[in-house]
Amino acid sequence: MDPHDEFVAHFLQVERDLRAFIGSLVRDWHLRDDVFQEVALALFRQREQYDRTRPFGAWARGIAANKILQRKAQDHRFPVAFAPETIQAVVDAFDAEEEADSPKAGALRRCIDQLPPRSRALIDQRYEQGIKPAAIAERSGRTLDAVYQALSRVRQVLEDCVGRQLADGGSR
Amino acid sequence: MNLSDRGRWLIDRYLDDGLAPAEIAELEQLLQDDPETAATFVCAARLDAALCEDLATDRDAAALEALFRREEELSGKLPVITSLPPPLRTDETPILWTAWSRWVPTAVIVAAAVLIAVALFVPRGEESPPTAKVLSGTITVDGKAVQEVPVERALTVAGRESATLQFVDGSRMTVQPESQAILHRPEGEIRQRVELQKGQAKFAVEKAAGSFRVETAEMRLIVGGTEFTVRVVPAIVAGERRTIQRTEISVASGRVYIQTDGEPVALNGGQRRVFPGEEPDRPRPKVRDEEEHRNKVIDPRRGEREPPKREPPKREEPRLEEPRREVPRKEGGDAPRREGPARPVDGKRVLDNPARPAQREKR
Repeated sequence: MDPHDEFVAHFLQVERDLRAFIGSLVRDWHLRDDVFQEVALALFRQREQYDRTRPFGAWARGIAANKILQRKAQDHRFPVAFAPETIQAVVDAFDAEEEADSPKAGALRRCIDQLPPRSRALIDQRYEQGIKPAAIAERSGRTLDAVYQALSRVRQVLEDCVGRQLADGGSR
Repeated sequence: MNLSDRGRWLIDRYLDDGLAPAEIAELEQLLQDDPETAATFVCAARLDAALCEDLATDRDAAALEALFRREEELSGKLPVITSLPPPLRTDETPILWTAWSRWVPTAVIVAAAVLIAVALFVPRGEESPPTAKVLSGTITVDGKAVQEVPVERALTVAGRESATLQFVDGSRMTVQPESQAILHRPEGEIRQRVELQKGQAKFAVEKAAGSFRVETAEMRLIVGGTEFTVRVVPAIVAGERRTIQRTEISVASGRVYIQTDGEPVALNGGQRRVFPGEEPDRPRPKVRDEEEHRNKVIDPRRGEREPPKREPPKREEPRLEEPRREVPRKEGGDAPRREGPARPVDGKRVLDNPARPAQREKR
């Protein structure tokens, strides 16, 4: 396969998980897109250095982690909460769980559709509209803690549901 | 509360931007020391990212609407042949034509010979450049299995397994057995045009310059970057002993625009629609304000939004639907911007980077 095509094929395979990795460290939803694009460009420029004996995803996450640390070093306000040692622990955890638990789009969509209306509305506010929990609490007249708990419960339900769907072969 | 419960609690709060600095330090310690917490963190982060990706498709709405408008403008620029020039009347036949007419058969024979010679000596690859590679399964063209699919030739899936193709732009098409399609040449701003003649194909379209089109006899579908399935199926007409062909579209994520004989239709992730006929389903009922319940019509020529006219629904001419919630736009046409959860650092909320442009090109 042509090296360029090979790179593109590898990149497309890990794109979703790379976004998840960056998003797990950079909690600002806009900045994580910036970082992702920067990392994608860095991967493309360094594609000759990729060691084919290693998983592409691990290589990509390594470069992403370095980019995030660089951004943090350049700007102390850059929103990364974790210390370098913790970032390394997260890198290791992603490497160990290599895409095994990555939610498949179809399965997740089906699980979202099965949510009760109230849970669905909550998850829409949080993820579709990007509203912060504090604002959700204010709008709905619930306490902030109740919103946190509800979001946690909905995510747990979705996680279990996706796991069941994938186990049943429902992602096809 | 045991250690893993505490870990889960910290992870959830972290994802919702709700941890105090001391709790972040506690989570960091757990992530470094406890592999179980770290694995749970990875799982939760993947779900969090997937929810962001799958639900926040409105982010792409503005770009796709612009793409759609451009398509319409492009169509409008094409010359339209309204009538053929009137044929020459016999009494107006030029005299010179009569003199040259006896040489015409010879000229035709010479031209045909030249064309045959050119056809024989020009490599077939140049005549039909490949637009897609076969990643899995068996694709046949003219009865022969191929690894690279040429344009303008009918492809079929051999065997009982589906086949996956990858286009030059990275987009993928998974074709079911007994399906038939033609990959057409790119034209202008259309980077890929696929004609599904029979069967079913699932598309994962990458975002790139230009548009990706899928056509069936019933509709033309235009997308930027999304995942959807197109199925061409025969359907029995109720009360009649005949079948017609229908096209069923199911959108997994993103948004697609569909042109039919009627008004253009926009479908979002999770929606399904059949052309012609069948009312749109609404698998994702949402709690919304009454005003937000109104469907919105995109006039592709003017790019305006206006409420639909209150007319009885026609089964064969489905109305455009726009069921997703639209976040009010800023003045100047900025794309809807979401309040991303800025996370706390040293107990303070961090604002967006002021240097970042308000509207960026996405991916």
